[in-house]
Amino acid sequence: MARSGAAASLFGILPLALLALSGCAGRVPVVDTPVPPGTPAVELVDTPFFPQEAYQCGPAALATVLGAAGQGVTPTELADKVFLPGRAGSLQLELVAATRGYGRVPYPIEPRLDALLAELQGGRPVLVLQNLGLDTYPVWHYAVVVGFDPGEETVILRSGTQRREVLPVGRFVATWQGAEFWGLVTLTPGELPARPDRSRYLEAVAAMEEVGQTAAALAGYRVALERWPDDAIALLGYGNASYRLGRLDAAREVYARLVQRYPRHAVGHNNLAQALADQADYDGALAAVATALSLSDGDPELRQAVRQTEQEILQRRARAHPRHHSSSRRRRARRSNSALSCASRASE
Amino acid sequence: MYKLMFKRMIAAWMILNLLGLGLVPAAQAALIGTQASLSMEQREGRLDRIQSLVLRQEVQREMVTLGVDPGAVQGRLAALTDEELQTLEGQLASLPAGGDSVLAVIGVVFLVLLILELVGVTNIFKKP
Repeated sequence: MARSGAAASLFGILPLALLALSGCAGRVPVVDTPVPPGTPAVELVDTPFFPQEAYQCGPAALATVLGAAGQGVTPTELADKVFLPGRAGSLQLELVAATRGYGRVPYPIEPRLDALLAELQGGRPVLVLQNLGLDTYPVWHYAVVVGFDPGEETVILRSGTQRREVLPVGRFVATWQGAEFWGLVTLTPGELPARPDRSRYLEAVAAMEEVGQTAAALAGYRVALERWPDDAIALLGYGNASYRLGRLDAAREVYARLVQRYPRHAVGHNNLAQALADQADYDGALAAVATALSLSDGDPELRQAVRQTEQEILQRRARAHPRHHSSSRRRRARRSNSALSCASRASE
Repeated sequence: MYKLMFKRMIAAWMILNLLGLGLVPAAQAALIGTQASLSMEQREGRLDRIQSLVLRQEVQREMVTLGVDPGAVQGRLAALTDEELQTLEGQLASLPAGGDSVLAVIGVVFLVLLILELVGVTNIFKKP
C-alpha cells in the first residue's frame, strides 16, 4: 500500500519536474527571433504519425517527414539505415544521408523560428532536434513540428508516442535552442524550400550530385537556375549533372552560358572542352582547354586537372585521326595508365 | 620503380572496386565535378580519392564498433559526402544522438528527485 502511494505521488510530481527540466532549469529560454506578427495559424493535420518504439525517435521522425513528402517508408525500415545501437539513438547526418537514399533532398533550414514557421506555412512539416535535458546532461530527441497556433502561442508536434503534442512556443524554443535550432525539411527534387537560401540550397543539391543522385540533382539545379539565373554553381552543376546523364547537348550549352557570363571561370572552360571533345569538336575543345589553362595559373591542383583534360583531348584526336600523329602509338600504350589516374580523380 | 607504381595502381583499383565505387567510364574522366569545384574555391575540406577512401574506412570501422551490422555500413555511408564524413570521423561517440526521450528523461527526473530527497528538500519517497 505504502509503495503504491509513493508511486502515485512520484507520478504526480513528474510533469512538474519535466516542466522544470525542459523549460526553466539549465538555461534561459530565449526566442531567437520573435514570431513574425500576423503569422496565421497552421496545422498540417495530414502529416502521418508513427508512434516511437524504444530509442527509435529518429526513424519515426524521419518516416513522418518522408511520408509527408510522398515517400512512404516505415520506421523499422529506416532503423536499419540510421540507428546506432552503441548510442541508443540516431545522428543528424545519418538522417540527412538516409533522406538522400530515398531520392529526397535534405535541406537544413536556417536556424531561426521564423524560418521554421515559413516552412509550415508552405505545407512542409519540419523535423527538429531537441534537447529535453540539460546542457550538461543532454537528452537528445527528434520530433516533427506540424503546427503553430498564434492565439495560444503554442507549437504542435508529432513526438514520441504523442500524436499531437502541444508545447508553449517558449518551451519549444528552449528545447530547440539546446540543439542549435537544427531543423530539416525533405524536398521533392525540383522543389524549393519556403525561404530558399541560395548557398544552403545549392549545397544540398550538390551533395545529391556527389552521392550519385544525379537526376535529383539535375532537377534541383534546374529550379535553382529559374530562381537565380546567373548563379555560377547552379550553371556548373546543371552542366555536370546533364553531362553525367549523357545529355551532352544540354551540358555543352550550359557550360557555354557559364563561361559567357563568367569568362574567367576556369572549371567552366575545362568542362566545356570535355563536352566539345565528346562531340568530336576537337578544335573547339583545344581552344577551350587553352583558355582554362591560361586561367588556372595560380592553382596547381586545378592546373593539373586541366592539363589532364588537354592530354585526354589530344589522345582522342589522335585516335580519331591516327595518320596525322606519329606518336599516337606510344600514347595509346600509355592509355590504360592515364585512364586509371583520370578515373580516380573524376568522381571527386 | 615502375613495378611498385603498377602494384599501387592495382591496389587502388581493387580498393575502389571493393568499396563499390568502381571505375568511372573514361569518357567522363576529365570533367571537374561541382563539389570538387566548390571545395577548390573554399580551399578546405578537400580530399583526394585515397584520403576519402581511408576516411570512409575509418568511419565504417567506428560504426561497426557502435554495433551497426557490418553488411549495412557501406550502404549507410554511400549517401554521405566527404565533408560530412570528415565531420563524423572520431565524433560518432560524442555527436548528438536523438534516442528514446521518455526513458532518458525519466532517468534524469529520477536523479533530480533522488538528489532533492537526499538533501532533504523533498519527502516523496517516505510515506507516513
